[in-house]
Amino acid sequence: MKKNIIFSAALSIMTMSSFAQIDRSVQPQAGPAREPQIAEYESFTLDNGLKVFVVENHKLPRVTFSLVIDRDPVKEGQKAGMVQLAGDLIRRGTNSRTKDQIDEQIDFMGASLSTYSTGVYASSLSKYSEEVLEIMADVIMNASFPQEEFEKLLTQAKSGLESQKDDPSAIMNKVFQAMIYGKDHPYGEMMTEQTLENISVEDCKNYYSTYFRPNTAYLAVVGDVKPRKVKKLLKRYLGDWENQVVPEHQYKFPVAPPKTMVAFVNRDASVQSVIKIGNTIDLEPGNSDIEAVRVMNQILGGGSSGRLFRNLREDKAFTYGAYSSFDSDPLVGNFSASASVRNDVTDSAVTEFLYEFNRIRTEPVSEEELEAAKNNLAGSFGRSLESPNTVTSFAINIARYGLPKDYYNNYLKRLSAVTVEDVQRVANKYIHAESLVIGVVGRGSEVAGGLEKFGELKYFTPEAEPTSAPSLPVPDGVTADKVLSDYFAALGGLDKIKAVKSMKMTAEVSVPGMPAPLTMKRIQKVPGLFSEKTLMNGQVVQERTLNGEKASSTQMGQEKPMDEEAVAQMKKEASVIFDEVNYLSEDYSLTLDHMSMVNGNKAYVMTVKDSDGEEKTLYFDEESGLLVKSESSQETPRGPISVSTQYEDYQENNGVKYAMKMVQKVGPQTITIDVKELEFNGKVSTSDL
Amino acid sequence: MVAAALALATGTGTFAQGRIEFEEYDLDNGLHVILHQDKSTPIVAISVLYHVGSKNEDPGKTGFAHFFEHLLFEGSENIGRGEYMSLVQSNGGALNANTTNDRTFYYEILPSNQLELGLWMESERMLHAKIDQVGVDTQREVVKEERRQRYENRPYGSFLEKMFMYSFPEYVYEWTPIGSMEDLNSAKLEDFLDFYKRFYSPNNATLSIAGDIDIEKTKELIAKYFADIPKGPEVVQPTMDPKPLAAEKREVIPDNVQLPGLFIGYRVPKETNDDAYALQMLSRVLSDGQSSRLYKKMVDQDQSAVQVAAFNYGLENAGLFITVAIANMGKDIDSLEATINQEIERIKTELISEKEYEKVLNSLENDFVTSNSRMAGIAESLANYHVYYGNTNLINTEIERYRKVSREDIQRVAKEYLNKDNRVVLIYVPKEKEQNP
Repeated sequence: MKKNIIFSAALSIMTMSSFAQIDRSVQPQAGPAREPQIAEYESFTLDNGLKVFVVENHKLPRVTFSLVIDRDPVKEGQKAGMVQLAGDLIRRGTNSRTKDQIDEQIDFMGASLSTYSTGVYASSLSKYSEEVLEIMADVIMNASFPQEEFEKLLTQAKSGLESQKDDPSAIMNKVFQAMIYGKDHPYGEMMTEQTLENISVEDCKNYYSTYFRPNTAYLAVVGDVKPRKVKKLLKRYLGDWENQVVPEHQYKFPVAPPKTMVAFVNRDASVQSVIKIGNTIDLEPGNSDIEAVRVMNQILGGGSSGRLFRNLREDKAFTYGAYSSFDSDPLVGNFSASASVRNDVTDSAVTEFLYEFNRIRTEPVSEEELEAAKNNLAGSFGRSLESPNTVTSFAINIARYGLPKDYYNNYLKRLSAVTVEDVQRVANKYIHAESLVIGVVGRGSEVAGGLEKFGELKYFTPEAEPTSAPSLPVPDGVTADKVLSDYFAALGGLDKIKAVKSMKMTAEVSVPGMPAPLTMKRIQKVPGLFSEKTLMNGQVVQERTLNGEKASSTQMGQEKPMDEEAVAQMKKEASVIFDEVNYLSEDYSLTLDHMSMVNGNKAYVMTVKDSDGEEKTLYFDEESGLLVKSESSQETPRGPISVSTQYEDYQENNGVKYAMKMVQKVGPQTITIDVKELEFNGKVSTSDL
Repeated sequence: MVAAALALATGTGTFAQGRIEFEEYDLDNGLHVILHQDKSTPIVAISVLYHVGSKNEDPGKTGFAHFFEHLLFEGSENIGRGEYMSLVQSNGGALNANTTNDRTFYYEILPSNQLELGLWMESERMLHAKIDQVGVDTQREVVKEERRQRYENRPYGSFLEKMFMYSFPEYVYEWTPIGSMEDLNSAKLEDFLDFYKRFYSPNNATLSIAGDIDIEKTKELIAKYFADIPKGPEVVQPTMDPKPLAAEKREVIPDNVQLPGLFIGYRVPKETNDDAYALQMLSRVLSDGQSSRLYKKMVDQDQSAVQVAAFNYGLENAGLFITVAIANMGKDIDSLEATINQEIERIKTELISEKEYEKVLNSLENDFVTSNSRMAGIAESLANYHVYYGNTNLINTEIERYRKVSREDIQRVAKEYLNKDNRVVLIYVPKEKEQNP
């Protein structure tokens, strides 16, 4: 007895001292590894061609059924969104059940049933498996596509689009797809309010009856089931599903941009830029490069030990996370890397992405990185096997893509064979450093300018339609007065401008819809002499004249009475040749609060308000200082209409520059004015009027 | 030294399969250990729950618990800066952590032959994590980016923050785990060192392990790595109740959204209270599945909403019963609110049908079974049940607590808590768009 006590005391001392002896600086060694096992499955094909895979796993009393329709991608064109609506509609009523009845039955069992354009998924406790399968089979075979449900979904889809307009990540994903695949490719097509309008319930029905066929479908049954019982049930409930030839489609591989480009979507409210950079890749499932690409991606940006994460987050603290990913696809896959970063580091973040792309393409990765990435991937493969559903998704992939039967059993072997050289080779092959799409959704006025160095900067709407640049802030120290005086200097100097006292001009005016261009002749001598004639085929069709106090206006030879306001307006026009000179007077207030892009160049945007409160917006090119565009609003009987004029082709005349071409947009109409003759300070007398 | 308390089999035997067997005990330093063995996949989930969340923060130092969580990936005396994550991943594991109002939770899922690695790493984190200025400066920016990404740059992103601010004035739930930008900016190294000493002790932690383990071997390894970690000061949890709301709080928030959104929060009891179970069931009557009352009425029938949800947000000291509705295009918030109020009134005036009651129980049963399908989830549930409920075996028996709730209880809790003067109403409306010239 006593002996025992001593013995146990000694033992406890030994145990204590063993604690004291742990060397914490030594990382523990792994024990013997247990290879993850891919569970067995049974498979059979029903008479109608439906291929079935069953995994029996009684760990939990539940079962999942998932049906996958294997079809080529469908191009929807003007009806983009139809396929998605059709998928959602399948669950919304059958020939014998209303949507309410389906909801009620499914919910009562605590089960779930969801449908989508290429499949149906159901799960429940195993005690309800037959009931759930029966309803699932009903929607697979007998969906009724009620008009009312269609209308509801349409409205919801529109609301969904609406809500995405303010979600920068959703915008980025859609625009990125449109950019890399092209909007005319099934993967780049975009559902919009317009395309939704073009869809009918018949389109959806048609899609369903064409593609929901057993001969191109796979069904996975996983869980607390007996394969023999499953076979019996499937024969009973899906045996009558009729097969039919399903159309196949082929598509051209999307054309990459010839050079790296920046696709920018403006969102003024953004406090972060959402960045996504990448390209399409030609990498189908089963391709022998896949494991090497996986390893390469893991090293580059596969997780929180990837280079992108370590660089952009742990080193630079630009972001909460930066990752890369790739997608293998029989048609066209993609590679991309992304992060959300605060506004002021947007361009620095893109620089780091490109740096890491370049590094993995030009420098061999270290053996340690290679091993770490392989272990990481092997571990994630092992973890994925925790879910019994993984096994059936392997089985379906093998059947679908014609992979060898032991494809997944040999995965770890193939993974471990990847070399440093392989990684560099696939980095070069699949990261197209010269023709990337750099997508950014963010506050354009603050961040877009810094992105021009990466490639052509193009602006897009959230629907991936080209658009103009958002406004940019004015650099410190630049005022309206400075922009104005720079403008005068660019024209030739204020003195020379002021010295221009008369002008004779002939211009050709092209108006769409008019058989021939009009001719405009303008003669002016300040102050008080003014004449403007518009001629068609040499005939005067319109004329305005001012001679001192005497004003007149004719149209098609008929005198047109002028009210006081019109006379005053003409006097004002006649009083000056370069009316911008007037802006120096106190009658005008000038504001300069932002910049904008005009024809791809930055311009100062100046608002000019006269003493009557009339406003005009002028755009002065940052570089040349010249006026490049003006905008104003004109009253018409049908309400105000906006007029914008672009000024091009400045040429010097008597030491003063003048825009020889003006493009005027009045409402939907575009009028082009080409100056053919111009003379400053020539002789002008009343007889010329 | 080891007080093994084998869990008693108190389940009703409803689930022959899926019963979670476990063992739990305390080390001398107060570390609570829970072990569950499941050999079906050669992986192991190792988790440590520290009983510290944003409710343990001082006002003016909001966001500390979560900020600190980031710092605990920086390394330790024996793990270099930046190596914590790669060490797990390069050995085939996955890891992460998250912080709530009440606790901070760290986990690794490793191949089961790497159990010892995970234990070593978690013990390093508990014993002598490296907390330095470089880490603080870096993670400060990272956390601010997290805040921007998850809350500021996202439609309706501020709703939870506002909901807590108005629901719990002058209480430890007034702020949410992400904290304020201002406090994040002013967080100092010495405060974090102090925070570490105060809360990251074995006596404030639960080590929960599930997976392909040998129980006895695991106990030895736990003793090896954790037994010599000294006990820390006793952690006093804030336990007083929040003051009741005196009147309805209502705010209209112009935001960068296209569709108006309505968020209503009612103050309700803490998650361990029997009434929390009744409220949980009530939320399912309202919005679980497409046959639920709010979904059917608002999304299906009158199509006033594109999305609707009701859920019981149960916390350790209090709870919020929250309803969310996002308006369909062209629909206004007033009609959404009227419908939700009507449906809540209906619950108060007529008992839910027996069929609805049964439906809710069936759906709870389904979720109950499904929730135990992964090792990481099991490890976390075991720790939660121990820490909050003081009853780890609830992982097997919690469904019984739901079964005890009657239809009358559901009506009663609606009457008791879902009242106008006990709620916060947040209305998100599209901001006037600034016109670009």
